[in-house]
Amino acid sequence: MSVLSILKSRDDQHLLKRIHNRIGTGGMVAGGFMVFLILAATLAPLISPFSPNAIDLLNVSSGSTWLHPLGTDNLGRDILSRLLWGARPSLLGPTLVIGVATIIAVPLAALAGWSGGLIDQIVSRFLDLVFAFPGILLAILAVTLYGPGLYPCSMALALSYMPWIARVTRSEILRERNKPYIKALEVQGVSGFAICVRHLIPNVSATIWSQVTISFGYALIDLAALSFLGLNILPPGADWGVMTNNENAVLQGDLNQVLYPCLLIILSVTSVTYVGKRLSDENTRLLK
Amino acid sequence: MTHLLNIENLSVDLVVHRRYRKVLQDVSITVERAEVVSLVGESGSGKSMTARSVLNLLPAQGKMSGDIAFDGQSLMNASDKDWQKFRATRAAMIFQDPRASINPVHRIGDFLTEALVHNRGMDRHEALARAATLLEQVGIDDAKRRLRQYPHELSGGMLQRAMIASVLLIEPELILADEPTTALDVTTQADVIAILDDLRAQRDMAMLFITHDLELAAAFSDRVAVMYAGYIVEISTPTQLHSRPLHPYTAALLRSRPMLHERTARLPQISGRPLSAFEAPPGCPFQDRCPYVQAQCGGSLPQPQLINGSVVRCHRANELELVSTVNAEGGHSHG
Amino acid sequence: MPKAVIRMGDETAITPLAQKLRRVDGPAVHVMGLRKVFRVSGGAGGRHHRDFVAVEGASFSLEQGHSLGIVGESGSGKTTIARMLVGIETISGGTINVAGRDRSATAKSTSERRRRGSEMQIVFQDPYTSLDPRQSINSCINEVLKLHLTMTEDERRQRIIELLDQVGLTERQGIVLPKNLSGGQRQRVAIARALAAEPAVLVLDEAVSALDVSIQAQIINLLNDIRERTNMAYIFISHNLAVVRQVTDQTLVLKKGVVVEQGDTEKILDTPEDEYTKLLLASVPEPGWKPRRVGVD
Repeated sequence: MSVLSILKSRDDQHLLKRIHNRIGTGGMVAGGFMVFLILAATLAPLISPFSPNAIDLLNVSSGSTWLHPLGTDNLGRDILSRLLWGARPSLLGPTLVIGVATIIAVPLAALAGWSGGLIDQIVSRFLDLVFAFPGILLAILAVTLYGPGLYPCSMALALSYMPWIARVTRSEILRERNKPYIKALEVQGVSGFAICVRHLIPNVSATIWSQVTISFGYALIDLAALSFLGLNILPPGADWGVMTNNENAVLQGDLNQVLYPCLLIILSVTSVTYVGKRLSDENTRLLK
Repeated sequence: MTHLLNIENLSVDLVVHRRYRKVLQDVSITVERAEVVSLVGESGSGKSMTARSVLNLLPAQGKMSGDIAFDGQSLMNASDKDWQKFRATRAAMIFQDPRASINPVHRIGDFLTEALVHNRGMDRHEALARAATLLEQVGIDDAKRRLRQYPHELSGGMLQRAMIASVLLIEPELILADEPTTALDVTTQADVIAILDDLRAQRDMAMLFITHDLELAAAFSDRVAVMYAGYIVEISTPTQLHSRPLHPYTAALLRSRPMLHERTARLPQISGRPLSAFEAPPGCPFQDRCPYVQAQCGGSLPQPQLINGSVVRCHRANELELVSTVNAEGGHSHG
Repeated sequence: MPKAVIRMGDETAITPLAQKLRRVDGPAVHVMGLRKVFRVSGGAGGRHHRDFVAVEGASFSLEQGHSLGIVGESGSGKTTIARMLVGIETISGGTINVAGRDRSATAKSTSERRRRGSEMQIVFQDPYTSLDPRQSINSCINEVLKLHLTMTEDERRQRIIELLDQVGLTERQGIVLPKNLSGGQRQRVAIARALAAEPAVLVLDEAVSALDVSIQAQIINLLNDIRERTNMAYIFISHNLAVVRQVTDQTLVLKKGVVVEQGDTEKILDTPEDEYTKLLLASVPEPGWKPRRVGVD
């Protein structure tokens, strides 16, 4: 069920209570955590105690201190600040990936699922074609053309994720399309476009949401991997992926600077996936 | 002489929308050896739940209270192993949708012989031979070939017959049939019911038959129990049901049915809709829809009374003279 | 376009809706030689294709205000005929004429589909899947009104209340989602939605078969009431002969795609001529009926 429909519902219940009904306590905690991260990332310039690139060679690899609550890395940079600033590309990246992927995938899937026949064949073969390209390969291509950075990598990944979302959405649409209420609308004479937009897509939104949230997790990890390969965010940029790949730190046994970003990646992925799962479970349950 | 099946004061609670709610209330009924008893009701009546309780097939969080005794022995505290043995040898169920209840990736032969081979240790060839004989008896020709086929190769009617065969093979003392013909065509239904009844009678098996079709139940049952909102509201013989139904719900149900040989200007309808046990108001569950309702009906739940050999739960059972057909001139006493 | 205000019990008022329907010259539905063939791939490796004839040469005519029953068991082709009539299924042969207009060919444009929708509507069997689970009842009917009729928002709101009232639902029930309604109530909504388009013909595809017996009686009475008041024509598909008796004037009996008997409902059910019809009648549970083996499958 889309978040929008929660807001539009004419229930008298308080908005938070309605959200609680949909995703449960666990979902609230997970969702709350993500909201907190997004807020922290947005407010990074205001709340970050240090600049993420402020090197302080006198305070290298310090543990937790009053000045540096999470310690410093091997160049003396404040880990907390780097985490805060790093949250921006780390969260923005996957969001861009799944956002763009979904915007392309869903209309394509609807077109294929609704029209059937030749159009479905063409779209499906096109998706097969895109499937053939691994995300990393597309990213390398993008970086070759546009240089390293968040946007080329995100767009490349978006393209490679698109067929996954499209394929699953298409199956759901095919299944839903033959249900009597859709047939009834056809008999009424409602246009195919209107049926897709007003009825079909909303009714398969549970699947779309679950695919989207799962993909968020994968995208986050993929982008971190791309940073590791030197395609995405390059040092000294702050990004959770970059921070986890500091092999010097690992060799020196200084694990703090790797552990914290790692933890954040795991928690973010888990939270988003969990909320997605709750959304799609509730959706299936409630509409019986 | 003990009853074959004795259900006493059975109440069942299930989790519905996150809370425990009553679905069966104080259900008491017996089935004797070789007797056919039908449970008839609409949605929410609890008829299916009653049958499932006998085999302990309730959803995981179901709570049962009361007693179910088979051949004199109570089943309520039986272990899982005992239940399995019970279901494998003494009682068996025929389900409504054969396609949902038969594993589509196993052959019919495997399906039929599984219980015999695993539970009784019978030799596989002997089991298959018996299965073939039984398939022919239920009206499936070319049984040997059918045994090798998969469920999707058989029509709905044939699959249901195969399910009946699988139940008969076990030779249980009690057959529970949960709407076995509802999904079938009317001609197939007639055939299947006739076969089921014939073979059952030959083998002296008792049957608890669940259906929403009162006429179907009346056609071949020894006794019919009408259920509403988780209660049994009337238990009677088919003849009595038609000549003198005792409960207003039974009478209304019989009268609201369209007739094959006559058209009426307007079917006598019951207002409202059938309720589940947890939706019923205190007192008589039928009070909001009953044309004969009085103040006492909302006060206390009517207890089962014995009248002329039938059991009925109605405060006004002794005063009302109900009829089952629209055009009968029988008088109604309006209190 | 005039809005039809139909008040309960106000038989003497000729409503604009009834006027619109009466303007149809000739039969509401006229079908000749209707045929449907499916290509089925069968045989080893799916290389062989068989032609499966679902409907072979059905012809019938239905006047305004009359009700035609189409009776048969599974595989008889009755649902296929319904689907061809409303355009969900293509026609392999024959002609279909509704409200004086030919609709044998698939609708080419959305406006043509809409036009056909305003002539003939359908109510499906399963109340649990025939409504969009995410759409409130009001919204559902509103969508149909917006599609077929020119009305202001206020007029539509008023009309929705009238339609709900006509099918026995309250204003409060219009606000909720289908999941909050029972099967019988959802079926009433499906009927209201079909009526909203003000069609000349209503196709009811086993519309009461999935309902409880006591609810069935309510909906049957409702359908008869509506037909009397609006003079709409019904095509009533069913496997239940007793229901067909109660709802229809004429009947078609189908067996494996072929019409085996056709005529007045009363005559067919009281004095059937075809063996299959007799078999169907003999299989219906009734007081005094005893099941016996009929040897069919």
